Amino acid sequence: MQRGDSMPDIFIPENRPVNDTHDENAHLKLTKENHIHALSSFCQNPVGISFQNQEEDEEVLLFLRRHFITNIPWIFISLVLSLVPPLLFILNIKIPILFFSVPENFLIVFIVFYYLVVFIYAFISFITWYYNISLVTQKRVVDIDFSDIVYHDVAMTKLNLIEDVNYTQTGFIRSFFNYGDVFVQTAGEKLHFDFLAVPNPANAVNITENLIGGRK
Amino acid sequence: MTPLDFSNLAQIIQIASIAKYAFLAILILYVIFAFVVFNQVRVMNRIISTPPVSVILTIISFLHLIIAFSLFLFSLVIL
Repeated sequence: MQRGDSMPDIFIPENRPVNDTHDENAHLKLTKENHIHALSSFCQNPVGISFQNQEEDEEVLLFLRRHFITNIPWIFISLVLSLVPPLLFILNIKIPILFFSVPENFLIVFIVFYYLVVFIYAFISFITWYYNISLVTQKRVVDIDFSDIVYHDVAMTKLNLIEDVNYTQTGFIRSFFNYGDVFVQTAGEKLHFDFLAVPNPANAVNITENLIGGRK
Repeated sequence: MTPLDFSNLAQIIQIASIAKYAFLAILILYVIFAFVVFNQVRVMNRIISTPPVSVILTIISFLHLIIAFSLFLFSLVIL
């Protein structure tokens, strides 16, 4: 007996395109792609970013970094420190200070060195902010931590290992600038993924929850 | 311990040379530190790439290394 002679087909699947393996994330891709600039802190469907061990068909859906407002302290300190030598010179005109009685060649080298130190302080503060990145792709969550210039840690977990996502937003400044901490609990080797001081935490949690929902 | 007598020229020269070598030692350490910073920026750019900013940061850290090394050479000559 031939198949189909006695029983009619109830459901015949349509020919689906080969590369639609991640349809569950289609609603997230409806948002237009965004180019990341140097000071981006929150970017949905970012373009122009890639990370180590990224798979060919893996797309970054969410890019998170600390809110730019968290950089204000080091920017302020750097500005104040860079104003110290000119202020000392002005002060020296009115009240002669012992510091300026040192030989001129020492003074030149010292001032250049001083500005190099101020510059490197600002530069390290910037790259610490710049390289502390959290990414959410359609397959996993990637957390890149960079601090104290000699420490960096790259942690990843698959979306199906995520158990819970929540956020906290406390304090006037955080509420005013709309940033907070997002916590991701996983069943993987690393139990916690903390995305600290990220902008729009509610939206970040919502996007991640939608992805988990699509996976589970 | 007797207080330092700055009218004594030999003593001033000795202080100046101690200051010079101390400063040069600090500058050598700073050059090594600048190299570590440059290297870390390169490592981080391999982990996460966001062109063109990644390239700009590498260039800045390299220029910083060059300036630090130049300052060391400059100090060797003028101090």
